[in-house]
Amino acid sequence: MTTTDKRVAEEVPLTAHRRSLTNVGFEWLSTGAAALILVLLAAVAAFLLTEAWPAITDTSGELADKVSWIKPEDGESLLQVVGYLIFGTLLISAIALLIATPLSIGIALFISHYAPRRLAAGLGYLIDLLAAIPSVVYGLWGAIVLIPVLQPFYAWLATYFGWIPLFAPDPTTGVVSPTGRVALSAALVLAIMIIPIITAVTREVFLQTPKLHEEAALAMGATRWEMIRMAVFPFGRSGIVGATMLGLGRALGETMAVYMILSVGLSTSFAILQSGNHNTIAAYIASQFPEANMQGVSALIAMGLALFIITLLVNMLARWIVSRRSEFSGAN
Amino acid sequence: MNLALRSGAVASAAALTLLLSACSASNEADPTTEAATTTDAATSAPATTLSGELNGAGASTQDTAMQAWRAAFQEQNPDLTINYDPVGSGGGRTAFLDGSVAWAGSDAALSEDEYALAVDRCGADGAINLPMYISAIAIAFNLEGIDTLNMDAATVANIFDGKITMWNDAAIAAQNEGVELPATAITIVHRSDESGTTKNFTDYLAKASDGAWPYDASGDWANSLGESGQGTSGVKQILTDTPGTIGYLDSSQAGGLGAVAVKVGDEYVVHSAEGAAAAFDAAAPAGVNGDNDLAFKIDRTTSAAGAYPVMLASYVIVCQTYDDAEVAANVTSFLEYTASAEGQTLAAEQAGSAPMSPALSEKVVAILEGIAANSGV
Amino acid sequence: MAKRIDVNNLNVYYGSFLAVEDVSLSIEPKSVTAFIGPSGCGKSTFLRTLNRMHEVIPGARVEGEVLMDGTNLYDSNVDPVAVRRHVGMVFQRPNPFPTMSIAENVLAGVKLNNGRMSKGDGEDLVEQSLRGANLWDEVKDRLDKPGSSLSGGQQQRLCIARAIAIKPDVLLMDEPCSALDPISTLAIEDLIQELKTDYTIVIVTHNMQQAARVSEKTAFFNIAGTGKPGKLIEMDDTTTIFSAPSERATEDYISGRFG
Repeated sequence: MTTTDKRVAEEVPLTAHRRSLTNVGFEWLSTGAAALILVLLAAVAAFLLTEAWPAITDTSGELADKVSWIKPEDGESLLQVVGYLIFGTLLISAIALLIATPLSIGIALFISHYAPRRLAAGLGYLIDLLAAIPSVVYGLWGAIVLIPVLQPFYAWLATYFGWIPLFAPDPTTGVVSPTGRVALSAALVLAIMIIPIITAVTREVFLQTPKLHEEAALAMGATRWEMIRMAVFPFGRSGIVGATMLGLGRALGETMAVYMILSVGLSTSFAILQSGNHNTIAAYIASQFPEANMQGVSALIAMGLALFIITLLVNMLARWIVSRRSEFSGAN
Repeated sequence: MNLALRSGAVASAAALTLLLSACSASNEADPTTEAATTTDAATSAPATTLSGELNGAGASTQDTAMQAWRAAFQEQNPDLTINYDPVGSGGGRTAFLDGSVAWAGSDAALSEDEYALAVDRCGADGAINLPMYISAIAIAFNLEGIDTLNMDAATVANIFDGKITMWNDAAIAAQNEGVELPATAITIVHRSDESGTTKNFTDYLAKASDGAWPYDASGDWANSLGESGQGTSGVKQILTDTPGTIGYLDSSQAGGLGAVAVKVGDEYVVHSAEGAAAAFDAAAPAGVNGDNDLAFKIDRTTSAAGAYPVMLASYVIVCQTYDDAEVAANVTSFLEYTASAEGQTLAAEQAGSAPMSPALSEKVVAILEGIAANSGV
Repeated sequence: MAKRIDVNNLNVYYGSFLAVEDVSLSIEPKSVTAFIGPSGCGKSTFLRTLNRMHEVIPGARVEGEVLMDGTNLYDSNVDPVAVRRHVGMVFQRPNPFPTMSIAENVLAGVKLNNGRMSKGDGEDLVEQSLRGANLWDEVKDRLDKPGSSLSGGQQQRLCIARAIAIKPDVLLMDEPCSALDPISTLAIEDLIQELKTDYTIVIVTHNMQQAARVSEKTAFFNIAGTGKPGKLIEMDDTTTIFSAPSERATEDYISGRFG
C-alpha cells in the first residue's frame, strides 16, 4: 500500500497539469452553456421588443383601425385588451394554482412519507407519466369528457353559492353557462396539468429532508403530521415555492388547454362560472395569429411581450419570497 | 473515463453549435430569402413541363378542397410538388406579399394597402383576386325533434345579440306556425378565433337585418355573449353536445344539426351549395385592379330566387405577371385546374363547397391563361 | 420525575433479521448509565428501543418488554408518540431545526405537548431550559437568531435544552459528543453530571474514557461477527467494568486488545 503511493508520487511531478485540456474544455463548455441561456433570453426579449414596437408606439389610432379585434367604437385600445387578457391569464392561473398546490403537496407527502415503499414507487412513476401527456390531450379530454360532467356541479354551485361573486350566475339568464366552457373549467384542467409538475418537484424535496431533523421531531413526541410540519415543510419551503412557480409558469403560458376549453371573452369579471368573460394571453395569440395582418401580428407580439414580463415578475417575486428568510433556510 | 469525458464534450459542443445556428436562423429568418431559394431552385428546371415545387398559403377554409385538388393534380403531374399551408387568410396574404409563396388563399380580397404592396411583389400590374371556393354558412341549432326553423335576418341578429333569449320567443314563433317551440334558453355559439366564416356571417347580419345587428362585419365576434369554440370543429362540438344552442358553421359540417332557413325575398331558404352559388352569381363586381380582378361584393339582401346569402367566397390571390416562367406555369396550370368544372366538382364532392357557375368558372380560367412570366426580367 | 427502566428478554428485529438478542438489564433513576461496545454491536439500536425510535425504520420490531416504572412501553395500548414525550433523546449530530430561532427550537417540543402557552411562560421556560443546558449566558442576547448559527457544541447543548424543556422522565443520548471538539465534549460531560440529579440518563459512547468519566453503570455490548445479533455481554458498576470485568471479552475491549 505505502510503496504504491510512493511510486505514484514520484512519477507525477508537482508541476504537472494532468488532463488540463479536458479541464479547460469542460470549463469553457459549461461557461458557454450558461452564457447561451443569457443570449437566448436576450434574443427572445429583443425579438419581442422590436416586433412589438410598432404596436406599442402607435399613437395615431391607426392600429385600432387595422386590427379587427381592437374596437375603438367600444372605447378599446390595445392596452385595454391586453389588460383584460392579463386579468384573465392571472385569474385562471391563480385558481389553477390554488387547486393544484395543496393537492400536489398532499400527493407528494403521501408518496414521500405515508405510502408503503412499493406503492410510493408506483405512484411516483404514474405521476411522472401524467407530466408527459401533451397539453392538447388534456384539452381534448377536458372539453369532451370533463366539462359535461362538471356542468351540473356548476349549476348546483351557482344555486347555493351564487351570492359569492365568484360563483354568480349570468345576470341576464340567471343560470351558469350551459356548456361548462368557463374559466373554472379551464383552471381545473390547468390544475390537473400542473399537479404532476408540482408533485414531482415537491416529492423530491420532501424526500431530501434530513433524517436528523425528522428524528429530532419524532424524538420529542411529534406525531407524523407534527413531524412533517416541523421538519419537512420548513425544509421544503423554498422547494415548494419553486415547484409552485414551475407550475405557475406552465399555467401562465399554457395555450392549447385553454384554447380548447374556454368560451372566450374580454372583461375583468370574477364570475368564473359565466362563459364569454375571460381569455388568456397565450390562447388569444394562438387564436388570432392565423388571420392577423401585419399590424395585428405586431399587436399580438406586444401581448407576448406582456406575458414574458409577467412571467419574469412572477419568478422574481418567488425568488424574493424564498430569499426573505434565507438565514433560516438551513442551507449552511 | 478520459475517453468518456472527451466524447461527452464533443457531443455537447455539437449540441451547442446546433443551438447557436438555430438561434441565429430564427433571428435572421427572412421570408424573402426563403422565397428566393425556392425560385432559384425552380429556375434550373426546364419550363416546358410542370415540375418543381409550388407553394401556396392562406385560408383554412379552402384547406379541405385544396387537399383534394393537390392530390388530383399531382397525380396528373407527378414531377410537381404542391404545398398549401393553411395558416389563415391574413398569414397567407402576408406570405404572398413578401414573396414566400406563389399564391395566397384568402377569405377576403386584398385591401388598399395590400394592392400597393403587391406592386412591389408582382411588378407594375400587381395582384388580382380570383374566386375559387364558394360555400354556404349554415346557421345550425340543437333542439330535440326540430330540423328547420324559419327566421328572417333581424330575428337571427336579435338572437345572436342576446335580445331574443328564449326559443319560444314570439318573434320565432310567428315565423314558424305549427312548430312546438320549447321554453328553453337560447345559448349562442360563435368562433373564438378570428375567421372568414365569422366575417361573412356578421356581414350578412349587418347588411340584411335592417339595423338589428348594431355592429360592423368583423372576423372577430362582436359582443361578449354566449359560448365560443375554436375553429369549425370547436363550434360543431359545442352545438352537438349542448341542447338549446345555436351557432354558425360551414355548410359541409352542419350535418345532424337543425338548420335555420333564412328569409330571402318572401321565401325561406335552407343552406345549400346551389343556394350559395346562386347568391354569388348575384354579387356585384368589386375588383379595383382592372377587369381581371374578380373581387365581388356579395349582396346579402338579394331576393334572387333560390339564393342563400349567408355564404362565403374565398379567393386565390395571384400576380398578373411572375418573374419566373416556371412558377407562372405552375401557378396558372394548377389554378386553371381548380377553377375548372372538374376541379369545382371535386371540391363539391370532397369539401361540400358550391361549384362556381360555368360562366364564372370559364372566366377565371381565361384570366389565369393570360398570366405569364415577365420575360423582361 | 426520573424513572427507572427494566428491560426483560428483549429481541430487536429488522424484518426477519435479529439485530439484538435477549437483552435484560435495569437502569437506575437519577443516574448515568453508559452503553459501550464496538461498532455494529447493537447498542444504538437497543437505545432506540427505549423510546421506540427504532420504529422509524420500516420493518423494525421487538419481542420482550421494556418497563418504565412498571409500565410496559410495548403494551398494545401504549402510543409510541406518548412514549417519546416521556423519554427524550439527543442524537449523534446536533440537529436543531434550521428554520427555527434558538428560542423556537427550545419550545418546539413543548408546543407539541400543550399547544398554546403564554408568552411569559414561554420565555421563562426558554431561560430555564437553556440555563439547564448551560447555554443561557452564551445565547441570551440572540434568542431570535437561527439555531444553526451556533457552533457544533452549542447546537448540541441547544438540542439538550430542547429535550429537557419537555421535562422527560428519561434522557437518551446517542453518542452526543462524537461530532464535537474536546472542549465542547467537556462542556457536555459537565452538563450530564448536572442533569443526572433530575433525570435518568442513558448514554451510548465510543469513548471509553467518557463512559468512565460520566457514568455510574456501564453495559458492554458485543457482536460475534457480521450478520450475528448483538448481545449484552455484561453490565456492572462503571468502576468494576473498567477495573475488574468478569468477562474476557469486556477486558479485551476496554484494554484495546479487541479484534
